Amino acid sequence: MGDVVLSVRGLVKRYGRVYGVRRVDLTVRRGVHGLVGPNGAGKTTTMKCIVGLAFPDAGEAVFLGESLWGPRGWGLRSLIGYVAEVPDVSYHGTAEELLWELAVAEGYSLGEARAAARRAAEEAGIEDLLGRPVRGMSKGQRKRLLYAQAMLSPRELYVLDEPFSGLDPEAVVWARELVARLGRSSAVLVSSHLLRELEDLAERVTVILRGETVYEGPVRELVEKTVGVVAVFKVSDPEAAGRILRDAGAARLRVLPGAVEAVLKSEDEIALVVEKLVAAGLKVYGVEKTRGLEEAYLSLLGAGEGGAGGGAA
Amino acid sequence: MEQPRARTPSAAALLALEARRLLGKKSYIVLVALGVAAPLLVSLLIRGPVHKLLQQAHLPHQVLSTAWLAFLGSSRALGGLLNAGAFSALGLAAVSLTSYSWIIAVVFAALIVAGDIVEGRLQLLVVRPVTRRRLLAVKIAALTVSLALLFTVSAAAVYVSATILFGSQAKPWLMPVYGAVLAAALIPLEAATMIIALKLRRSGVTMLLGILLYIVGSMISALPMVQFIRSLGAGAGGEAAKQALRAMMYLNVAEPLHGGPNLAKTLLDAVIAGLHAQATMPGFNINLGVNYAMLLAVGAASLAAASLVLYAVASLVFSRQTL
Repeated sequence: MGDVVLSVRGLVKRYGRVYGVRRVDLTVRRGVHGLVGPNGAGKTTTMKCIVGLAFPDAGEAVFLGESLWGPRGWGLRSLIGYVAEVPDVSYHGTAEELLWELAVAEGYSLGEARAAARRAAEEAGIEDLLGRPVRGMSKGQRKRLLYAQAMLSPRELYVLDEPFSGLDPEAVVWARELVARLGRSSAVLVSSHLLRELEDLAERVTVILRGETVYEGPVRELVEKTVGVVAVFKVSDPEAAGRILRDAGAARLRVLPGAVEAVLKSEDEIALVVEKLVAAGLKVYGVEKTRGLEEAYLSLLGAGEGGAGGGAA
Repeated sequence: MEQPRARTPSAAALLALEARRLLGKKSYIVLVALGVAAPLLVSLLIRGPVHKLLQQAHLPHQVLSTAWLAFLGSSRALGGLLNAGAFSALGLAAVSLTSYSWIIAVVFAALIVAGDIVEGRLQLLVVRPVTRRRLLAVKIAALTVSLALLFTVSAAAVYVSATILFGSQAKPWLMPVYGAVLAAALIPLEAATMIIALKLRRSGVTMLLGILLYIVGSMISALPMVQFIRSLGAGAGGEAAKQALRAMMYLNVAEPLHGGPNLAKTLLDAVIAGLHAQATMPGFNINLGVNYAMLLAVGAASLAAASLVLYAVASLVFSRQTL
């Protein structure tokens, strides 16, 4: 538990009579942590409660050992960076002015704030846009501006709501690398509908359905528990490999040109299967794991009968 | 690489930030230009005829030296020869920006809250290490400082204009005092407007409702007039009528949404006539037994209390709000 950065327990948030979140439990450690769920499940509301944009009706959050929603919790917010899903910023002024203002509001002196703004803009790759009016920026540029403001200070926790939405393919690659880099030194909570992107980045995941946490733990464990591991073995004789896999207890076998796809119970079985294939005289050119999180998520969603929406109190 | 560490901004830094933002707004700069240019231009245009009239009137310089305070709405300026109403009719007070102080306060209060939400700036500020209560207080303080500066500049332009028309003017120290008092007295109206802005998140509608609030406040202040007329109609006259007028006089400076500008004008009257002089009501030459010290004390206490209450309500609304 030593690397736990944020722990949320029993979060409830209502909007009038409608539940935004019914009961969310979340433990975020250093590294990248995925937050997934259908639209309206409560991901954004959960994130808003963590960063201070919304106030919870019940629950507690402990951030670095201190109460985040207690009377002194606001003082910890300089250690949390937040990127909203929609870059809804139509600020009257330049990007540099906005970043400078936010750096001052974060506790930098008026002079230091200028340097912090430039540094953050460089990290977000928008240093050449600093003099541009924010209103004249494209959606993608404004999203990068949101990344810049989240990186004004070094953080213990980054909360990124759909960090890849609104970005062009080149920027998605940049954002993916950035998330991975941030995850090496801090905790990064990422909500995303792009589960294949998330699977490559996140070690752990929380699944929210109808405003409640239905799973939290390692991505690998979720995949193995729900659908097993979907692996594609590139081999010299797919037919023969299929027979060996069937004997080894693999499910849902599919023979493909030059390969065979199978669902195994765990990742550990991949090595055992490869050993058997090699022992049978087959050549193994490579093994690919595919669609694990996506299938696991869809399986959970099926079990939760749709899972979307908060519902009335 | 720099290690993460918790920081918090000082109140002074936040105040500088918000004030800078307000002072840099184009609408603010246009108002400053207008507040300076309009009275100067009008005084230059009417300088010749006014000088001729003054030569015929033979008014003592001591009386003329308070003319600039009449521009600002004092009914005791110019020895009471011309009250604020008469000056408005001549169009002189109308060129002073301070005559529109309440509209300016409503517009900027709406802009710095609803405008900030629409721009997405407020959402980016509240995730920083600053409480919403403090952020709101800083916004009100920055608005008060900015308006005090605007009204002081406007009063200075009026002072120069009056000098051009009537010769040297007295009590220049009143410029910043009047500017500060007027700006501070508008805090209840600003806080009420901010509550609307937080709820509606739209500047245009907020401005309209803020203006409506002022009008409602104005109507409330006029309610004792009903009692006054009824007492005259019933032949009661005397003390009942005086009581109604007295109530109206107090409400005029103490009603939180509309009393601010009147309190500042009363301060000017008090400086000219003296704190313990009997306060007069334009149009009524009756001794009501109310002096300026009493009016200022009641008005200031009421506006201060209303400022605190409305700020507390605005903080409560803001603190529970999802952005």
